[in-house]
Amino acid sequence: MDTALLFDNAVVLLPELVLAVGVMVLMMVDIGRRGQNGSQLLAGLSVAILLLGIGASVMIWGRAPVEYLDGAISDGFALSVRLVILIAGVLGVLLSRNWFPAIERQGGAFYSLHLLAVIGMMLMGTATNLIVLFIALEIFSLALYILSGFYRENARSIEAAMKYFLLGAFASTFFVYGCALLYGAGGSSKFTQIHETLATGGGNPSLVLPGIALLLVGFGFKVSLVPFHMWTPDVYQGAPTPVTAFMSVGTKAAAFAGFFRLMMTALPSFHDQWAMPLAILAVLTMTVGNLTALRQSSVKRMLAYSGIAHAGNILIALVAGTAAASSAAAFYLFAYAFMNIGAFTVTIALERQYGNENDVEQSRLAGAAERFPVLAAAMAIFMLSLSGIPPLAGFFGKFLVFKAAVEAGWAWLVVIGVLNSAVSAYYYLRIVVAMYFQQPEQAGDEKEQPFVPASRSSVFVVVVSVLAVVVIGLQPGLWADLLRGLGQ
Amino acid sequence: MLAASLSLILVSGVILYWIKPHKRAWAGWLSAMPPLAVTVWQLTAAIPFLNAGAGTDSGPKAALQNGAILVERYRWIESLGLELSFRLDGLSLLFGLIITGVGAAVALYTHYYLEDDERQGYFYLSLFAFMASMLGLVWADNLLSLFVFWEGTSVTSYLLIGYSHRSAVARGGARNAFIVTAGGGLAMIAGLILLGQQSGAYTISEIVARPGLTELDLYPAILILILLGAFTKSAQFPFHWWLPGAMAAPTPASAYLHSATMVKAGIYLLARLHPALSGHPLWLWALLIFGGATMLVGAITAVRHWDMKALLAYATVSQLGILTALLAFRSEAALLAVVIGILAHALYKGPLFLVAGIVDHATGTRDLRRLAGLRHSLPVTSTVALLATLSMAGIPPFFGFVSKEALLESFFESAEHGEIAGWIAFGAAALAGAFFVTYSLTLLWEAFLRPGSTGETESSTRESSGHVAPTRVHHAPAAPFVAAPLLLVAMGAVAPFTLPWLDAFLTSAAASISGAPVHKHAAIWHGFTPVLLTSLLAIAAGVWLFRIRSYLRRTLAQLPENLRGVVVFQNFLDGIYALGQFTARFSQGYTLATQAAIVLLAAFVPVAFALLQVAPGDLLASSNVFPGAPETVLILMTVVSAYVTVRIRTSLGAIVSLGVVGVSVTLFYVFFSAPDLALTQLLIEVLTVVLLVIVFTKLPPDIRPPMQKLKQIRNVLVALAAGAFGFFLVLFNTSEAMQAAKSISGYFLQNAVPEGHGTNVVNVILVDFRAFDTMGEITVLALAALGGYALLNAPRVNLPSWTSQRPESVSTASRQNPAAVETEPSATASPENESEK
Repeated sequence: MDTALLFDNAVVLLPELVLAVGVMVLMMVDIGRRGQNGSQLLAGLSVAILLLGIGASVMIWGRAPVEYLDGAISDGFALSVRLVILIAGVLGVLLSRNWFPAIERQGGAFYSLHLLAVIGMMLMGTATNLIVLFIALEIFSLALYILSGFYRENARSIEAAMKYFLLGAFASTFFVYGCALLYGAGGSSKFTQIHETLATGGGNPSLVLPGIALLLVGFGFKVSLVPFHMWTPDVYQGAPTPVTAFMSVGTKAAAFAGFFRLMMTALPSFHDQWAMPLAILAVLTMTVGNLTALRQSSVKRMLAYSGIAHAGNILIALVAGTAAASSAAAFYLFAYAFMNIGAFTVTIALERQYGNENDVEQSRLAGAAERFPVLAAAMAIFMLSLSGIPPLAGFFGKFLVFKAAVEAGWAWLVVIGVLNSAVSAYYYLRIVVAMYFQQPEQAGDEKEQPFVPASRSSVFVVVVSVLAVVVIGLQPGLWADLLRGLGQ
Repeated sequence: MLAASLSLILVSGVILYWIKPHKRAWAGWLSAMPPLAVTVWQLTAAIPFLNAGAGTDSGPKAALQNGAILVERYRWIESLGLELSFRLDGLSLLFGLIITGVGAAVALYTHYYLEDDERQGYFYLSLFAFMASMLGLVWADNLLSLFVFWEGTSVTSYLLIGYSHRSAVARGGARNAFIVTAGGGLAMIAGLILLGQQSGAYTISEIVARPGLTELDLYPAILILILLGAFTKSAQFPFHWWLPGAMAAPTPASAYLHSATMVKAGIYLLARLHPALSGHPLWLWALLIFGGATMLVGAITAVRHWDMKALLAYATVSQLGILTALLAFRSEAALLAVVIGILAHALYKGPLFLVAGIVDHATGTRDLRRLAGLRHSLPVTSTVALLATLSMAGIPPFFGFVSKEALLESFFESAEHGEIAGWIAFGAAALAGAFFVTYSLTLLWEAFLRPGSTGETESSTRESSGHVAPTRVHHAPAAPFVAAPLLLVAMGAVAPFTLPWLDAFLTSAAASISGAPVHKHAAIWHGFTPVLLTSLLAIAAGVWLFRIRSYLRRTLAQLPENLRGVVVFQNFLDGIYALGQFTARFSQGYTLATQAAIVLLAAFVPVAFALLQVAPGDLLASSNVFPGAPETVLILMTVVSAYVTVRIRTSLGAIVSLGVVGVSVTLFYVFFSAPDLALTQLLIEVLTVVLLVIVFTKLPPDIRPPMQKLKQIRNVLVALAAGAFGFFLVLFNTSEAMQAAKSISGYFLQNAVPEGHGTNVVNVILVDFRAFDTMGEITVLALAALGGYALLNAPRVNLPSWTSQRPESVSTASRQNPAAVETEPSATASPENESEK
């Protein structure tokens, strides 16, 4: 192998490289600091590194897609997903900054893991090779297992990490087995090569379906499709809320990016075989997610089930399997990043108000609009956007996905998706109703509690998210042109 | 200008909010200005167009086909070819004028209705946001932007209905209205996407000009989805009940949203898509049946209500049914009758709602049992009521009469052509017409005309007597308060006599609906025809029904409660809720072990399905699969130590026996001549065991409690399934088919000497061909060693306080205390007590 190859086209991975170097710098700085000083510096540094990563992505935006060492590519889709993940990463760091008791002591570890997770997620979107795909998956998964247990004073957090890790390990096992079978089927670990071999009648086509089934378990676990979703509410609820906010968006974006690229570049010739099972999974996921969300009393669990339902919506785009559908999914994820992180940020702010450590019960939201008008207004916007009310960002995500699916001939699936949206409107609206139209039950002692101002960085996150949700909704064209799908 | 008008309305809403209108006497007049300005602008833009004879054969060709008074386009989602386009034509002009004209009157009225209410500014903000959405809806020329404004009206109407949010009734009404209309809207968006995709255009004027849409295979799906949207929005049976429920809104909102504008949005959509979608039997019968049912249900139910607003709401439902039924037909007469019906309804129902608000404001009640003789105390208001109710009853020569004649005539015309649908519609409309007369008279008589406080005799059926009949007006209405309905009703009274001038306006709207020029003209007098006779008979029947109204009320009150739409809907919601409970029970609240079992089993299903697709021949093993003596021993060793791992009660013992399993597997590699693999595996196994042992020496000792029998059985089954799964996969992988792929060993044997200059092929692979891999492996080993070192030096694990109080480890705690862990998640998932209900 020519060593020059190592450096040719390495610019493809510029954002990942920036972050990787950043992680090392971060750890060095962490070693250098004494005691509990400088944790704010670490947070600032992490944000700066992530912003540099965004800068690097912008720098290579619009270049002709080139592949690096048969393993990674930076086409429009990869860049779109990267942007989503980097934004989620920045917002996640901003939220974590003042959240933990432990972050003063172990900020270096926390932020390094956070950035590592971002790197893994971004790689997932660029991977064009089974091996890279699996490594990317493991990089971000391992980091997230630890991050979800980072609130060590809280039993729920430890339980969440434990569950996530054990079940995630199962999923990874299936995933790697699936990779092996696909390799056997196509005689290569490279997506395009697998496609070529299989499309020209070579390879072992009989291995493809078992391979897909195994990979489906892995991806299904990561994006939380029913019936592989059970960890989601427990982990979302138990993990520190800033981590939940970050991973609810990042994991979904990364795993879906990998899923899309694998299915659409390695196995498009098997679309007829995998589309229907995925459609059934999408129906199951949307329906179970939405119906179960109706019965949740905790805000975080409700958001977890809503996240499951959203995964079902995005899966519709994959079922459609067209270039337009993949760009619709990118748009969906982009919109989802802001509205979901926004909703979690408001949850964090409310957690502080109500003195709970790591969750808010919906019943406590009664009358919140009078006590915290700004937070309530922001939450209302996020809820409306999540339920897909125009002209907010969430609506256009859904619209683009549904439109692409109808164009690909999946009208019945869209109808089920739309019915599910109606169910979802009910539980999102319930939050709004509770905040605006209900009186707190024991008005007396609620009022006596002093107002705890939200941290400046979470106020910033809320403002950014609200602006983004509104601006994306009012000017969807701008973003729909910017975010690209596969093969666009 | 269209977009500018929308912005003007929106901005005025914000300004009105900002100036705190409840403190300013002139705020009412100010608020009427922006809608009035938009009205005037629309008229000035439209008059040259209408004078040019739009909608007739002599008119400009452009005005019929693709032409409009005004078209505006803005960039929106270019990559999808979606434009934010607005278009003003005859139909949107009709709606636009109603929206801004009635809007101006309602805005003026609001200031006096919500006198001294400090949230008046908020109401104005919502009202103007609604007005902008509604205008956008009727001006939009793009399916998607139409939908955006459509949902905009749902959201803003939710805010308006829920304005009095302290009241549970208002909250419930607002919620139901929102769920029904927004849910219907969602069905509609699916229909609109399908329509756009099938017709190849998202611009409405292009779709409408495209022939042959009714022949599409997907036409029924498109139609049903769009009708769901239109029917829910326009309160058609069986969704009609949300409209009376929404009467919890402040009266200006009811007058505006629930008679003049929002509920007509569905009618508007049907009219807008009429050229493209009508002309199919499905269209005809769906609209006729649901429209007909709606007009009868609404008309009959209206009679039984004592609340003025409820009565008016059901009357509105009935009128909406009539409009829907008219749209079922394609004749010019029917479409012209739609246009007249919409205008006439806005001009009498709007004022009636406003009157109800004035009465409520002045006397403190809207209950017909407690009202009487208002003509003495509220003379001007009573005049308005008189003019409006006579129009509603369809008494000549009021505008309502013109409207009723037009509609009956159009149905009769269809009937004469031998269409059975025409007869059905004619009969239903005549019957509904009789009830129109009945409740108009009821309203007029009981509230305004009947003498004094004689309420008790009428009301003895339901309520205990003893009410003081509050005909006493304790709060005289201000002049502008009454002026608003007066202006509207005056316009309605004058309209029949100005029909020749209105004609161009009405026919151009009808032409927009039909997509072709309309030759029919509206007239107040059609001569002595069977239709007129029917009309007179209906009036007579209505008067007779009015005389027996107390009997009607009693009979209707005896209908079972659970037939009522609200109750049915609540049951439906409860059903969905119960379903949610069902899925919640099955998808959460499990322990980790159960979750793992479910994930494993769920994973086997797709794989098993996929394996079934594989030809059985592929499962034949390639070489000798029967184990020799050494392998048999190893297998036995593996099985025994695996069993020990599961059964042993201490964690340390489990780790050690698990290590034995690992080593046995390693030995397999040795027997199958893969020494390098064996070496790696051995290193990993040893390292794992060492690290785990170190970890466990740092933890307090633990003894696992014995497992429950049932769980044990389940675990055994899951394990067996996993084993079978692994067995088949391995069998499959080692089968002949799989071994057919080319081995890579040949490549290395050939290239070791020429490329790597070494004869030891394994060495060459490690240090040359895969030098980077080797470096990576070494790095991993070094890092693992570092990690082990760090672990050895680590302080005792700082466990959370709740575990340090108990000596058991985390996992034992959860197992010993199944109640604590297993019920905890299910407790969080417990059904929330719906405080909204």
